[in-house]
Amino acid sequence: MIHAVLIFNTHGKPRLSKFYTPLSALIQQSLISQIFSLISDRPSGVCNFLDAPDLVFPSRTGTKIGFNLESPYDGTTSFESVRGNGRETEGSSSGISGKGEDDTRVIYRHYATLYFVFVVDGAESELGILDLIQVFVESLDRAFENVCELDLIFHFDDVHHVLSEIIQGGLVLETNIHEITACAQNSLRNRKASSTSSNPLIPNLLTTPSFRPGRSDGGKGWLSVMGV
Amino acid sequence: MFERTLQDLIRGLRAHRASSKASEDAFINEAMTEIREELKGKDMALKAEGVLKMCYLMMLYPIPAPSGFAFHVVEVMSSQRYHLKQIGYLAAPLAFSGETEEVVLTVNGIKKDLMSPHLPLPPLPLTALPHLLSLSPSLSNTLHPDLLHLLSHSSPRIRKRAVLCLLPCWEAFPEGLRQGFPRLRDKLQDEDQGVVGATVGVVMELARRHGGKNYLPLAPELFAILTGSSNNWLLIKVVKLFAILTPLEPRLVRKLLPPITSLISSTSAISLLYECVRTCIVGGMLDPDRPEGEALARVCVEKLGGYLRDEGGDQNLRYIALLAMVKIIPTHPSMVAEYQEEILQSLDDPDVSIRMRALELVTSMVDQRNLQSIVDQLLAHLAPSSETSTLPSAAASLAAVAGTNTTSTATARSITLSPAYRLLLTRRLLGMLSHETYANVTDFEWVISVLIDVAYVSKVDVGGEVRDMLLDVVARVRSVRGYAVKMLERVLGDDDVRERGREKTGEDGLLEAAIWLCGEYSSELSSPLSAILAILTPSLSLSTPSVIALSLQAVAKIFASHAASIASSWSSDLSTETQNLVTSLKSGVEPYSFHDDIEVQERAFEILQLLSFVSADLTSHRPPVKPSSPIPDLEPGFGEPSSDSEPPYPKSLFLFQPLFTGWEMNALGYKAQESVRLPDGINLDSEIVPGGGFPGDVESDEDTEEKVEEGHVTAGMEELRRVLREQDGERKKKKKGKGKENGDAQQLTQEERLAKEKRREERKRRQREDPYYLGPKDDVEDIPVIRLELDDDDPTELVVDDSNASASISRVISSEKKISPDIDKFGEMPSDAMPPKSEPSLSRSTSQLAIEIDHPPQPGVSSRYEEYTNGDADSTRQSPQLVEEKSAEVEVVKVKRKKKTKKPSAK
Repeated sequence: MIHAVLIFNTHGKPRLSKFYTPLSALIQQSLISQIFSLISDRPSGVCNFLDAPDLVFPSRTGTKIGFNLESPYDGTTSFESVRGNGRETEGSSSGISGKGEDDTRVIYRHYATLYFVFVVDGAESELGILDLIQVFVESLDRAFENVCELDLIFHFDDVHHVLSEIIQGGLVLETNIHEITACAQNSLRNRKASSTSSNPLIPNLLTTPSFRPGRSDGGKGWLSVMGV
Repeated sequence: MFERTLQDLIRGLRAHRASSKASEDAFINEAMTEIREELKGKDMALKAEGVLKMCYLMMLYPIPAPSGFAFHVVEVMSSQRYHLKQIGYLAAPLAFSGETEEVVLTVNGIKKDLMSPHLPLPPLPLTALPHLLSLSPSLSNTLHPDLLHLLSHSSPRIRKRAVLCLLPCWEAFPEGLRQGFPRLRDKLQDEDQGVVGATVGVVMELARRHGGKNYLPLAPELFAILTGSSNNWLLIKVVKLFAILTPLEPRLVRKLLPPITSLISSTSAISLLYECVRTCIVGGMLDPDRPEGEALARVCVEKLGGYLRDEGGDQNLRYIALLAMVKIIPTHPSMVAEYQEEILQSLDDPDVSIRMRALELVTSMVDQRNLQSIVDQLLAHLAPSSETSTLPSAAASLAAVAGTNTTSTATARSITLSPAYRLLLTRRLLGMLSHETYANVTDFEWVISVLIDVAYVSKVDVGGEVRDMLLDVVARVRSVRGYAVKMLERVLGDDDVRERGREKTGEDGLLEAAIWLCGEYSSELSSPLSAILAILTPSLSLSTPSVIALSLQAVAKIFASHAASIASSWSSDLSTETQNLVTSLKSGVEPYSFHDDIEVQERAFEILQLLSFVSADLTSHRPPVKPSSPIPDLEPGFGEPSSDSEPPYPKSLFLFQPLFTGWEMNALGYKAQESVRLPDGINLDSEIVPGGGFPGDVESDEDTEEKVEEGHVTAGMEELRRVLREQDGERKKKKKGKGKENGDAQQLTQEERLAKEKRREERKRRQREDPYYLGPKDDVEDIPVIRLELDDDDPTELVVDDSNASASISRVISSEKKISPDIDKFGEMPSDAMPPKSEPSLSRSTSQLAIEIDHPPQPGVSSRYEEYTNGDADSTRQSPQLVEEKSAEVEVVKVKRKKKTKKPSAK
């Protein structure tokens, strides 16, 4: 599955982070900065897979997954200090993959001022993910019409919506770019209609006697909606 | 109104970030206060904007959500407006964590949204659900029927989202899997390719997490997709899934071979081609028993080799080719070996990712033939080519072993190596050498020189590993000792090494090994005097105490063998020379007798005293007082007393030697400690102090006197002191002696017995009232005395330490001795070895434990080393005595106990 989707610029400023594997905020940030510092060191023209002796991805169960360190020797990393857990690499990778294999990979692509980074495990095809990144970027391009970094900065919610048309819960939802674009546009249309119209888009669905179209919702109305 | 929108927040952040960190923090704090206000407000639009802003901040900064944030998110989620609701669902994964109770509040709202007939609505909760479901089993339980219902929704967009939600749902609610499994099969045959793709993804994850066994029944449907679909993404997924399934069901292989072979030959998509090749390899389709398997393997390797050879082409393909080749090595090593050159070239690649993959591949490629050339190339990586000339011994030994490889040094120049990569590289290199107890090594002199070079050029903290390996090789391979000592003798003379060794760059371990080995095998030294001089260099005082202690001991050993050798060719002119040597030794050692470290101080002082004795003997020695032994040959024949008492040399020259030459140090066999036969008359199971030192059952009043009194002693410190006082007083009145104890007991007077009864009663009462008093316990057997000793004394664990697979412990025993150099693979066993009592599994687990404990190399503090060299050598030499001594000690303890406890009773 896909553990995380990250976008940051060439100066290391994060523009988007979406983690499908729950991690604490501190670890998320340190992972981002670690991946950035490793990627930014890489010259151009090298491959799109990031392997480094000191890169460690923490897994869901609180242990960590080591990259390509079958040997019991384990480079100490910032994560150990963050999490205070110095478990051995071996056997700990069961958290995500369920196997002893160390198959977590960082796959990235570089577009203009931005790095698009996917952190995935062995269930995903390395080359397939490279294509998926391309699909993601093209979808953004269609959604924003010539996407640039500023679009991502100021419309992070829209980026999330586009992403949610491609990946849901760490699994790939759709790879066809036309379908993705159509869905994203649909959702955008709905949003626009809902925010511009004075009436809620779906007035008759959730309406309870206390709710009337045009009345600003709030108060305790939502409680009755929830059935509490 | 002054509410900031998300855009304002972002603009503000950018403006403040430009100025300073402090102002940025201040701005964030200010924004957080505003957001908190907005969240509390009644206006739902404002509330949603607040939630969105909070999400933005949480995404970019490690900010914890404000308290009650989840609650506000629930409010927004339940808003009627689509765009607000969407914000709510967007925020949900960020807001809810394992401890959030608000998840429960969402159930009804989500249910309603899911079941909404309004098409745009259900996707919103479905987007956020995977996260929520994984948090709350109860939510999964409740929503499971709805998700199953959505599987037959008319819109494929909703169907595929629902399928993906099943994975987290079943993870949290495993019973649902049984119920929903048939639906999964249906969805594999869905008319929409997107739904099928999502379903394959879910099956893939399930198979990876729970093993593929349960998903074999889906093989027909998956096979239909493989042959029927033209969607590359889908095909890749299915092919990858089959890589998990085929090892479980060999019959699948025959079925799959035709479609996969045709895909390999027909597809234009490299990603699909690669996955097919990989599945062939991983899925065990290249069974060499089958002719088509062999042909397929050839095709696969050629494809991968083609990627690898593609110079200037796609780096990504080179990377994945290396990745897949690692998998094919175990079955088809010879085919991969054809591409050895390309693989070795990849080691020089500027891309560290490719280098690391190549390193991994190379590690598994190593055999007897190519070990030397591969190791030489790795060494060339470590050695900075510009600096090589400044390291004389490294360069010399490199040149000595080169021969096979001269070209690669040049290419490695441009690569910058990070310390972490150097460390990995060095450890891989050492691991290759020591793999399966040096199974691939044919020339151990070469190993020694490589180890020395590694220490010189690695510049990372591998000192401990280099040291342990050097000692291990020298101990195991007798024939290499002379060479090793001569090489290390030169290391000792290199003051640069000492200097750099203090910076934890590998040289420290080399130095320690050099000092110890030159001392231990001092007979091999070409010039003992210069070795002594080199060891006692003035800069030694800057070293760590453990190095100094080692050095002192080594000097003593070298002097011992030197003194013994000059004694055999003694002449009067040697006298002054020796006298000078002793004097200079004394002056060299003397400063350390005031060293801060107690170990150093003690050793220095001991050696100093012995040297003074030698010195005194040398001065008082008069060259042959009586010319009684002009012809040495005739000596034994006549004049026994005179010739024996007056050899032609000062006798003190032999003072040192016996101290160090008791037993030769050899590698200790795995399980040697367990195999030591118990001496007669010692029963390790019997309690040293009956009752574990606690008073026995007080009810059994008619205990023997000793037992009761033992309990008395251990009952408390107070008691012990009293007993000791009484003992002192007793000594004057009574005669003592352990032989008389029984007699004494019988001679107790009636009066004494009464007093005793009284004391016993009193004690019983005290014990009842004492909350800290523990009842009788029988846990002596739980104390793992023997196991602890095993960990310390078994040097084979050093080998294991180096050969990087922990599983090789077993191989150490099982592997046969195949190679010509006489390497002592199995180590020494006690002469009266007995079959080990404990089961192998147990003992293995203990030694693995030892490895884990030992594992972090402890730079500088080489306490472990001390154990290995001195302590270990001693224990090897004296392992039978060790046990006897111990038993004697045990007896002593027993006797003392009796003495102590006897006295008060006799009073």
